This record gives sequence, C-alpha cells and structure tokens, in this order.
Amino acid sequence: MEHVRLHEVSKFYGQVLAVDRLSLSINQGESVALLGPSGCGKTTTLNLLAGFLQPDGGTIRIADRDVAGLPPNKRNLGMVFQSYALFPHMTVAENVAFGLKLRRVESAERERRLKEALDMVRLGGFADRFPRQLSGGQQQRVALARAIIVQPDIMLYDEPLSNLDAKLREEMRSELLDIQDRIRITSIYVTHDQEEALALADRVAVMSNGCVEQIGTPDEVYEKPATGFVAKFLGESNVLPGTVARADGTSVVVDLGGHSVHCQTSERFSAGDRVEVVVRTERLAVSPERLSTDNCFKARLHHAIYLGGTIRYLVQLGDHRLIMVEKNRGDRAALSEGSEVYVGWPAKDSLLVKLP
Amino acid sequence: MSAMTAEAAVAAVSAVPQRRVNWTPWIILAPALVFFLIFYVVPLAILLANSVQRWDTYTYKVLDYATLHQYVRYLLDPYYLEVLVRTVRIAALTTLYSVIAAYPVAIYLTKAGPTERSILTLIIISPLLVSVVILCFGWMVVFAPAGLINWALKMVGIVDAPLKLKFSEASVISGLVHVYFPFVALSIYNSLQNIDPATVRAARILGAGPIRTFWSITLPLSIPGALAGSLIVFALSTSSFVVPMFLGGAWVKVVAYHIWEQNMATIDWPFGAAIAVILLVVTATIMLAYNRLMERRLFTGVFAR
Ligand SMILES: Nc1ncnc2c1ncn2[C@@H]1O[C@H](COP(=O)(O)OP(=O)(O)OP(=O)(O)O)[C@@H](O)[C@H]1O
Ligand SMILES: [Mg+2]
Repeated sequence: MEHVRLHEVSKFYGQVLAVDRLSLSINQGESVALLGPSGCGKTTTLNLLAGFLQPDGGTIRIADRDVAGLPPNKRNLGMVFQSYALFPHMTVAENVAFGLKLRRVESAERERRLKEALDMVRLGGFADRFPRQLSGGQQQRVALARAIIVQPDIMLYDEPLSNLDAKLREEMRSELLDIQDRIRITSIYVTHDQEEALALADRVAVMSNGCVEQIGTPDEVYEKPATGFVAKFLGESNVLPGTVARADGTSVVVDLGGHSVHCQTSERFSAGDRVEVVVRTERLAVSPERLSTDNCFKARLHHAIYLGGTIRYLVQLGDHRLIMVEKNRGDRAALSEGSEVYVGWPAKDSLLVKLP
Repeated sequence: MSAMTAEAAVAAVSAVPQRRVNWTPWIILAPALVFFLIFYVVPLAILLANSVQRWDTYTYKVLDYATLHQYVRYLLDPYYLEVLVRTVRIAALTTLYSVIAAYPVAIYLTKAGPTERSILTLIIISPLLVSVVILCFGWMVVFAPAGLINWALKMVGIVDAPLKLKFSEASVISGLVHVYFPFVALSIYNSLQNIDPATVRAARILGAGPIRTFWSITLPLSIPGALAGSLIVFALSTSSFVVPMFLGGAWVKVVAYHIWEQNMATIDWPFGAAIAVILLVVTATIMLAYNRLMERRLFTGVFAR
C-alpha cells in the first residue's frame, strides 16, 4: 500500500534548483534511503516532507492526502536530526515526553510510555540527566526515543549517524535495524554513507542534482545500476573509457585501446558506441599466473598496500591504472611490486555505461 | 659513567613535577588591574571612608570619623526612602519594558537578510549615537502640554484639557527605555543566534505550533541573553541622572539626584557618600537575587553550556 508519494516536486533556493521534478513513492512500513553526494538535495527533500519548506512545484501526498500548506506540527511525523537537536534546558525525560505532553496524554500513561521508550533505547537510568551530560551516542538515542514515543506515521532521519565515530555508528546501525524490526514504521533515511543506506533500507533511492537516478533494493542498485552515475557512485569502481567493437545481443566487446574487454549487458549497444566500462574493485582478481576468466590481461603491479583485513593492489594496464581490493586470507606469498601479474574479471562484472 | 646515567635516569623518573607559577596571565591583565585599582577600588574605599564621617556643613570640619549617622539619617527618613523605592521601581519597569520591546525586534533580526540586518542594527543602536540630552529634548516635545501625545488625544476627542505628561514617571521611563533598549535587543539577539535551529524544528515536528515552540524552546533558550541585557539596563537605570533630570525634573526625583545635590549643592560629602553606598548595595542585592532566581534549576541546561 502506498504511504508517501512525491510527484514532480521542485524546490528553488533563489536561483538554485535544489530539487528538480523529483518523483518517489514509498510503501507502508517500508524504509527508503535517499542516498547521494553532498548538495544533491537530500535534506531539502526531507524538509519538504516534514513541512519545513513548501515545494515550488509538484505535490506531496501522505496517506493519500495532499499535505500542501499543512504545518509540520500537524503532520504527525517523527524526525531525528544530524545534530540531535535535543532541548538543552530539559532533562532526558522531559525531552522524550515533550511530544506526549503536546498530545495531552494523561500522566500515568505518559510515565508508562516514557519508561518503555527509554528502555527501548537502553537509557533507563538516564531520565534525570541533561543532554550535555550524555555522550554523542546516548544523545542520539534520546533523540530517537523522543521521536518514536509519539507513534508517528513516518520517521524521517537526516544523517542520523554521521556525528558518531565509526565504531558507535556500527552499533547504532544495528540498534536502528532492531528497533525498525520491532515497530515497522515507514522510514526515510537521508545519508551520503552508502553502507548505511544499503544496510538500513529496504529500497535505496540514489539521487543526483535534485533528481532520483534510480530506486531499487540495495542489491539492484549495486549490481544493476541504471545509469552511469549510479554505477560510479556506488561502491568503488574502475572506470575504463573505450569503444564498442562488437555487439552481439547481450554480449559486447569493448576496445580499450589495445585491450578487448568482454561485457554482458541487457541494454542494446552497437559497434562504434563510445562507452565506459565500470568494474568494481572487489570483482577484480590478481595473480602471478594466468586466470581463467572472461577477461584476463597481463599487467604490471605498481603497489600492494597492506590494510590488515584487505590488500589493495594498484596495477598498470596499458594507459589505465586499475585498483583492486582483495580479502587478506593470509594464504599466499606477497606479490612483489614492479613484477608482471595477470588481472582478470568475469564478463558479467563489466558494467557498461553509454557515453553521449 | 654508566652508573651516573642510570642514577640520573632514576632521578628523572622519580622527580615530582614542580608546579610552576605561570605569570603570563598576570602580565597581560596588569594594565587593566592597575586601572581598576586606581580608578575603582581606591575611589570606592574613599567613598566608604567618607560615608562613615560626619562633618559640619558650614565649616566642613570633620566631627566624627566612624559613625553610622549618615546611614541612619537616610534610612529613617520617609522622604528619602520614597525616592529610593521610586528609583528601583523606575529601573525595574524600564528593564521590563525594554525586554518586552526587545524580544520582537531581536526575533525579527534573526530572520532578516544580511542587508536588512545591518540597517536594523544601526537603527537599534541609534539612541547610543545621539547625545542623551538631545533624546530628552525630543521626548519633552512628545510629552509637552501642547506636544504630540496631547495633540493626538485632543484630535480624537479623548481629552479636553491637556494631560500633565511631562515630568512624570512615565516620561522618565520612556526616555530610559529608549536609551537602554539597544543593550537588551542586541543581547537577546545574540542569544537567539546561538540556538540550534534544529531544536526549533524538532519541537515543531513533535507537534508544537509556533507559539508553543516560542514559549517552550526559544524563550527559555534565550534567557541568558535577556538576563545579561536586563542586568545591564537595571544597573544603568538605577544610577541614571540625566534622563530623570530632564524628563522628571523636580517632580520625579531619583537617588542619583540626591547624590548630586549633597555633593554639589549642599556640600555634605559624607551624606552624599552614604547615599551612594546605599544605592550600590540595594542595586547589587536586587541584581544578585534576580540572577539567582533566573539561574535556578529550570535553566540549568541552558546556563551550563
Ligand atoms: N538555505 C539555502 N539557501 C540557498 N541554497 C541552499 C540552501 N540550502 C541548500 N541549498 C542548496 O541546495 C542544494 C541542495 O541542498 P541540500 O541541503 O538539500 O543537500 P544535501 O543533499 O542534503 O547535501 P549534504 O549531503 O551536504 O547534506 C545545494 O546545492 C545547496 O547549496
Ligand atoms: Mg544534508
């Protein structure tokens, strides 16, 4: 069942078009991540949904109702801010109960729900503290409890984890997933952290320049990017420009200037098309011996960077510098820098992007 | 040789770190401290010493060096006490009206664009750019029997004979609010600027309308600015002299007037000094109590930032 619908929504800041005829549909109970580079209009979209901004064009419908002109306080939404935005002059309990007070929930019920919410974010003993007496992670959990306690129709998250350090971010992420499983509420995450988007969302909407480039499940957008932007934005990729030499249905051969690369695609290409071959760094293999993959080339190893869990190889293939990342299984002798190696990858891992 | 180094190493490890006195802050503070000492502490000491004397107002011969005579004389006189109460009342009302007038202006200022903000700031501080005497003449024209207000009241037919507005407490307060308002407005503005806009948004999305958001979030979070501004205005108002002289004259006497009178006209310096000390103590006490009240638990989170 459709819960939220943005139809051709646009927003200008003066002359700057921050959101450009954006359309997006979100189902009841679904969590969708808006993912995109800085300045692509994610926060603006969220603020349009929240009602802090009014669109200059298009319509926003929540539960099949046009919300144009409806102020934020009448939308029954929950929101978690990047800066936590706790009320510094109120205790944790006062912060969390704020929304219930506004809804005139009577005090016994309020106490019960307050306790429940604080327990849910594991802050039972912190009710009487002030926000400044809490760590960043604890503050963010208070913010979460404060938003959830009012049982909003939709939860909005604006970069909820970006102010936390890497380890805490990981922790909060699984905690968010837990809570999401428990309350099953329509959620929209704004983030520029791909892992966060892929981990938290049922569907990911990849944005650029105020538009949604592609929306799909995490593995759809990662494995079958619809546009060159999505292919290059997600994951870490090698981008190799070339020309189509032969196209035979789903199987295409691209000439990179000396090297012929086999690719598999569902799109139609014809000989002479200028294209980019996009290969994810973790899909490449490197070896001192010849590899039995669709594509295998002799190359020179430039650097092998030891990163503990992984090893990064920089390989020179003709004019191209390839990056590949390999799991460090500790079961093979280090390749020596400057030596001849073979690099290879299967045809299905060569994503093709047509250039204009 | 090697034994020596080993010994030295042990000594280095076991040496208790010496707490060294850091003179730098004192050197930096020195000019201000010296100035403060010469022009504030010393005169205040002289004032205190003066206030416990008694002298003959014809011969200026000191009759007594340590007496509470002057204090008793002031505090047991209903006339002087009335003036003291009036001074505090005028200062308190000036503070209250300044804060009330300053809030909308300060809020508007936070929402204004850069150009509008510079122009507005200039307008707000304009009373400080003009001599207080000039401002007072302006208000005299407004409050005069044939002045602006009386003229307007007569035009709409509310009064027949002009009201006696000039030389009233109202006119003194108007003048004081006009002169001291910039301190509160800018101080509140500064406080409002420091509020994270996301907290306001958080309140809105939790279901608070604009008015509720102002009362629950914006107002309490801007209390430090309002407090700082109102303390300045209160202190300046209790000791103001020029504005009450021009706009209140002999009808609205304030403590500062009596201090001036005793020192410059009657030449009873000990009594003048005692009045000054009384005003200082009363003002300081009220300010401290007010500060305490405002910083109580309710605002712990705001003030401890
Ligand atoms: N108040 C504003 N006034 C003018 N331009 C703005 C304003 N807010 C955002 N913009 C512009 O609108 C565009 C989209 O901004 P937005 O904040 O939505 O980006 P974002 O995707 O959230 O980026 P980030 O990941 O950096 O937070 C940007 O080009 C930005 O410069
Ligand atoms: Mg943003």
